[in-house]
Amino acid sequence: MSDTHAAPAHGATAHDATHGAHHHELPWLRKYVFSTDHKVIGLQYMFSCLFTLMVGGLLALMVRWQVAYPTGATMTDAQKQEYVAKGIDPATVNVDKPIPVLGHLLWGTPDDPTTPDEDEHEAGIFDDNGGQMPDAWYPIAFTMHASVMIFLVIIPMLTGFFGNFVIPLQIGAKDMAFPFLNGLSFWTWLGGALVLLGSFFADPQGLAAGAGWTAYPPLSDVASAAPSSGIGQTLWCIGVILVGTSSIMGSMNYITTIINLRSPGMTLFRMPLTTWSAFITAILQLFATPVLSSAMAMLLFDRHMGTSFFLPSGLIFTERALQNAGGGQVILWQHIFWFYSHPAVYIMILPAMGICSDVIAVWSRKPIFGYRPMVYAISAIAGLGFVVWGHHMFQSGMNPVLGTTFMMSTIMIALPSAVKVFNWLGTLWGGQITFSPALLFALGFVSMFVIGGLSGIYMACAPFDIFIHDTYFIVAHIHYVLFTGSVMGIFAGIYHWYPKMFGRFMSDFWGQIHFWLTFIFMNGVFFPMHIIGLGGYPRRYASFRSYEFLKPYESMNVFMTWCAILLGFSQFIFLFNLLWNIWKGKRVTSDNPWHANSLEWSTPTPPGHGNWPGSVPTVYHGPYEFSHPAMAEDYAPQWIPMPKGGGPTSSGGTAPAPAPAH
Amino acid sequence: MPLALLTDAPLETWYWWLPPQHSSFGDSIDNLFLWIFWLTMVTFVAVEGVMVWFCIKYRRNPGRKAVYTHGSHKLEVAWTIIPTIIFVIIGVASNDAWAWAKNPTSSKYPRADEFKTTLKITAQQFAWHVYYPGADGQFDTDDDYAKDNTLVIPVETDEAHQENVNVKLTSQDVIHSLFIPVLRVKQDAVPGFVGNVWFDCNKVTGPGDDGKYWYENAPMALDDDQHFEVACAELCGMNHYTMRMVMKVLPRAKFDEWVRAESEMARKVKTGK
Repeated sequence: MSDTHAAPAHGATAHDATHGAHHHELPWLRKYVFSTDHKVIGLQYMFSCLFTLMVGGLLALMVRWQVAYPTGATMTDAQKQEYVAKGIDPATVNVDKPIPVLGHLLWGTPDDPTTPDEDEHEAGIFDDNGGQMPDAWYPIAFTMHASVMIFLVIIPMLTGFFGNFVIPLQIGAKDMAFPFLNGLSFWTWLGGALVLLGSFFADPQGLAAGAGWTAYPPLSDVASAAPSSGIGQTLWCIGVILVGTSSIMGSMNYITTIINLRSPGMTLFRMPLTTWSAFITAILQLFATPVLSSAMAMLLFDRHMGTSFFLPSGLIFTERALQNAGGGQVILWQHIFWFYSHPAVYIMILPAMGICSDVIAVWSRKPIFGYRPMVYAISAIAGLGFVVWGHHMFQSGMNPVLGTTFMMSTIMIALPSAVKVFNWLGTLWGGQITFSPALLFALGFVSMFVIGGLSGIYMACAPFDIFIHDTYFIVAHIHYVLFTGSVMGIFAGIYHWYPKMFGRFMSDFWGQIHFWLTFIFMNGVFFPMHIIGLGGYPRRYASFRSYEFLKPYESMNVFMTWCAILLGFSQFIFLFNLLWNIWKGKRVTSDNPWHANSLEWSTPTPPGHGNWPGSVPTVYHGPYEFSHPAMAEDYAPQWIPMPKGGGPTSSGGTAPAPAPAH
Repeated sequence: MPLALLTDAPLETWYWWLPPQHSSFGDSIDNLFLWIFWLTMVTFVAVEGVMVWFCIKYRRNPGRKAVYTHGSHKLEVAWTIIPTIIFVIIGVASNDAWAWAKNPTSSKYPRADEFKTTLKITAQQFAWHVYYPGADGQFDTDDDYAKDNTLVIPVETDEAHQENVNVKLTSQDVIHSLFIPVLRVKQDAVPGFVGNVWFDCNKVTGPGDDGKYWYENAPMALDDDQHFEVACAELCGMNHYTMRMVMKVLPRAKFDEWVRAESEMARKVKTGK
């Protein structure tokens, strides 16, 4: 980990020398490791998350491989004849395909059928299973994939990295309101991340948590319910509590900063949408995360202190009645968990929406279409996000009358999302669109979010959800929102703000290649999931071989797996583009290379400690004054007053303009 | 070819679309799906089409300045109101099918005292125990019997015999979920809580190739007959994917015949007579 943290340091050192010379120099460790500077903390989040992204991606590939090539493969006739010709009984030969490289590393090498007598069992890191993922491990792979991606990649990337890096710069603050708390938040998160990742190694078999990222008790609650319900599950709870604590600290900080530290003239309705969505997201986090932490604490108490919050009487495991438990409610967990985790879905998408709004406005040289409706839509999504959690529980045994209520609120949450999409289209209309990698990813976000949003209507419709609940249709939906949505938003943001972060450009060419490969392969992975989901393919199945009705989907599963592998490898282009150009990229010559309007582009590049050398800039108008007819340039930075008579006088949405009137 | 992998035993196969459905409320569920499908397809094509069109039409073109507009109040109102109306219609239309499928006390169909067959299913890691009340139709009598991973239900033979099944569903360890794809049924089996599921089926699963039902053969081989598959849809542990149950749907006369035979055996075992 320390290597990844050191990386921004080198890049930043060189440029800080030019811009931050007037500041007193802090010792290296204080400046780049135990830093309280919001930009350094943001980059610490980014580099840590790039690492966890690789871990989560590898886990995803392991899941995909197992689904495509589960144990119990049957031999083709040609293969059989081949073995007969060699004098080997085909019945004794295992033709399963273990995971290449990784399988051998973790679970030993496969036995060679041609030399059956030799003792060639060689254990991997975890065990000897001939390189094949053991049955008990498959739930661990997808549980930890989801946990890593949600708690250690998307949330910290969007709130930890972009929130930290962008908020103070966009509102004209010298730093966060509580710089120490900010640093503490990162180190608490890192502690949580280490606990979660370390849980693989707390057990010699590598048994981390395996009850799904939703950790439904009793599976997650009772030690004898699953091999994975041991120390791994306990560490998982502790890790999630730590990560949640970090979220709470971060969100308090963002809210306080945005309310109190805006520069003169920066009214709330002159804030760019990235900051607006970060603000609303922070409020969501502050209200939702404590609920998750309390659920985790209750689960820990159940597991280790003899309480029975989630355990009813009369449970029987492995033919033995569970002693010392009873009186609890299984469904209670689902209510508490989803009360956090549904808002968490919006925590994972709202910041990406904000980022893409800014990127689209800048790269199409257009004011955001309907700035205020966009803000209201974000707020509406956040508000409704708290009253839709029951749609995860339509089939849980919750009173079906409640299902009606949650169905209506869930269908209604599609409305603000639709408004946002229409406004993005409106922003593109009449623009001067430059297809930079940042814009491509933002457009990719919008177009794929449309799929994720529309597929949400299928499951919001409670009667149809009866059929698709817990099938791959749901898996397709969440990945269209979180991968082709949020992750594309993250890429868009990194391509967009990279010059400000490191003072150098990323390669445009490789950015384009990265976009197209990512776009094609992600659809290759996730779109067919809709189809097999419609066929009723249940999620979280380690193998399709038990069921006749799943066998037709074998070839489609193999196709998705290979797309996933190619998708994974495509990301190395991005990683290399990002890391290489920190040192070798073309230098940025202007502080505002994209001709953008918001305040982060008024700082030195990269910004030194305190962001602005002197006092913070004054803000004169909204952030989206692009292509104003009275201006010679097609942009009007917020920190420069508009010429008299030509510019808007108040907030972003009220400029006199040759446009449809409000 | 995917189809070549299939054995002859299952009734139907499907690939690109929903499985065939054979229950009374399944039709209204599938209709909702179709409505939403076309609605979302049209929206999808329209939105993506407009986006691609704008991207081509308004690509950067030196010398032109972008249109300066902060939005349109009329458009915002329009694209807020129209989806609202559509969403409310979807919600209201869905509610009927929801009540029909899930709420046995709803006035529509059927009432709790109108179920023709009542079964108990207890799920455990990794099997389904199906309890049948036997020939007398009463639980907790000597002719009760249980079958593992075998769900046998009657089918309606004509309009006058509206068959339906009520399942008292629970679990003894973790949460499982009873998923019958062809009947559009899914309900979690929750430990510590007995849930009600009801369904009906209007399609018979026939005998095997030899013209005999599985229970007329020795040894009994369930998979030789035509059958439907029932799956577990809620993660229940390491062998979640093996929790398969076979469902047979018999005409009432055949069903009664099977029940009588099984009840007789059960009574003999229990009472020794």
